[in-house]
Amino acid sequence: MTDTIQICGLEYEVPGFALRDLNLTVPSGAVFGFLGPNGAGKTTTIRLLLGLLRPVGGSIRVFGEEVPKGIVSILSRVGYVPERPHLYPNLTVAEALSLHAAFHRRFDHGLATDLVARFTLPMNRALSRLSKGEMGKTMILLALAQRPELLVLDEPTDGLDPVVRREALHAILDYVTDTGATVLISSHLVHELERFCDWIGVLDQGTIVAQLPMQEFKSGLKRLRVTAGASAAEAPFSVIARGEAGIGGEVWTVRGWEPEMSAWFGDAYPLREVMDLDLEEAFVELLRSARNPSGREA
Amino acid sequence: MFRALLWTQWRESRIAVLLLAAIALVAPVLSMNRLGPATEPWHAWDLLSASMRWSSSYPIVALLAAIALATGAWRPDHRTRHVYALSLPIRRSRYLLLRYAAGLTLLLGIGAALLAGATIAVLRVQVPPLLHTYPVGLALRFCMAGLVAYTLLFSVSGLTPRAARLLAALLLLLIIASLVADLLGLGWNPVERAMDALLSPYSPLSIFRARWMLVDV
Repeated sequence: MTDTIQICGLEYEVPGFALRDLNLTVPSGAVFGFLGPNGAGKTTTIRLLLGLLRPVGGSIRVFGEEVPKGIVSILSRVGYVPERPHLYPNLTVAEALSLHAAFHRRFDHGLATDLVARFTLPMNRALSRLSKGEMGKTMILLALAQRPELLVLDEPTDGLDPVVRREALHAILDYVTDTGATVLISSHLVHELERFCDWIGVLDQGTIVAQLPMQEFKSGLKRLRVTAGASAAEAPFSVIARGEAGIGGEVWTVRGWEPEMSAWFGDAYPLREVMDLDLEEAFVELLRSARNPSGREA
Repeated sequence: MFRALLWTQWRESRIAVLLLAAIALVAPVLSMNRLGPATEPWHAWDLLSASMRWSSSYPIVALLAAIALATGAWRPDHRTRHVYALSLPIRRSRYLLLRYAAGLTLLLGIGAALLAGATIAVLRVQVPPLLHTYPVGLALRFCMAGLVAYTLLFSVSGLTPRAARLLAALLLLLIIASLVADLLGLGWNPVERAMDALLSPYSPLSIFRARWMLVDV
């Protein structure tokens, strides 16, 4: 598997915010969830990736081409849905489609027509008069209809109601299933990413905290209910967080867990229960451990 | 691509373009209206004075057209913080040229309206010997003046907010310096000097000071 996006040692700085030595790799064909709290640098990273901002250091390669040198060729293969509406508000939906089609050689009018019908978009209404949901769907429609090999979606469903969100995500998934396109989707809606991402990258305070396959991310993180007094020293897993839980019990949040590790606890301080963490809990624990590395072995 | 951008420019400035094109079409016709019969002895004088009276309206229309089109050229991109334009697969220099050309095309449309109006106007009057009509010259002058002003304003309105702030600060400084110079009675006014330099015969903007006569000797 080759990599569609390779970011190495990326540096960017504006007053009050900096990206430091950011390394990120998105494998081809992956649906890569880009997670991070608000203000972590997700949008900035995406803008750097698309040549909208200039980094102060490091390198970015998309489809093997360097950004910004090969940006025109790269952008012809990338469908982008930004965080905020970026379309000209005085155009109608039909005019926005024509404008977009004029700049994208591979624009698929058939697919656009299908999506217009599927999203029930009013073709002759000005974009400024669309509801938030309609605007979101229009942006996704344009990004998909240009038949991109890489979809870059920056909080594409943020603020949309659940029905619209589901419609939009289904359309994206259908496209990806049909074409095998790579997707980089940023969001802080963790549950949303959990359903369809196969890779995950976590960004916090301008630094990548983790990037790994979703399965690995979810399976290695567990919450253990153990007998009080057990020592985590020399454990074959790393303890991210540790707290009391009732009389004579403790709860450990651990990383790198495998089922056979239960035996490590022995009979003196037996392991009582192993609980799965959902992605949101795993995400929160990961951020907590990244922000307070010394607190791993509490 | 050009057609698509021309359409966005049209959507942005169509009211101003239609209004200015109507004025450009009607102004020369009105200027030649209410003239006495060609047999009257003062007919040539009437023609010249009517032409002179209306001559200042054409550069004003050219300037207004340039302002409307230059600001309209960048307005959609400014509104969307240039994100859409920058995410299009096109070199930035080419995009800039296409945007420039779209506004210019509409400016030429207003110029064509002026040519049509001027032609209709001169066809309706009988021009005495020694006087000549200049409908094409007037339209060309209009287009040239519009082009100069549009190019200048297109560049200014396309500036980044930071550069625009710098320019505004510079203008403010010039005005303050001018007020101070007046108060101190230095006899040297920087604003006047700047205007003189801008409209000097060596400046492209001097076209606005030229004779914009539809009928002349």
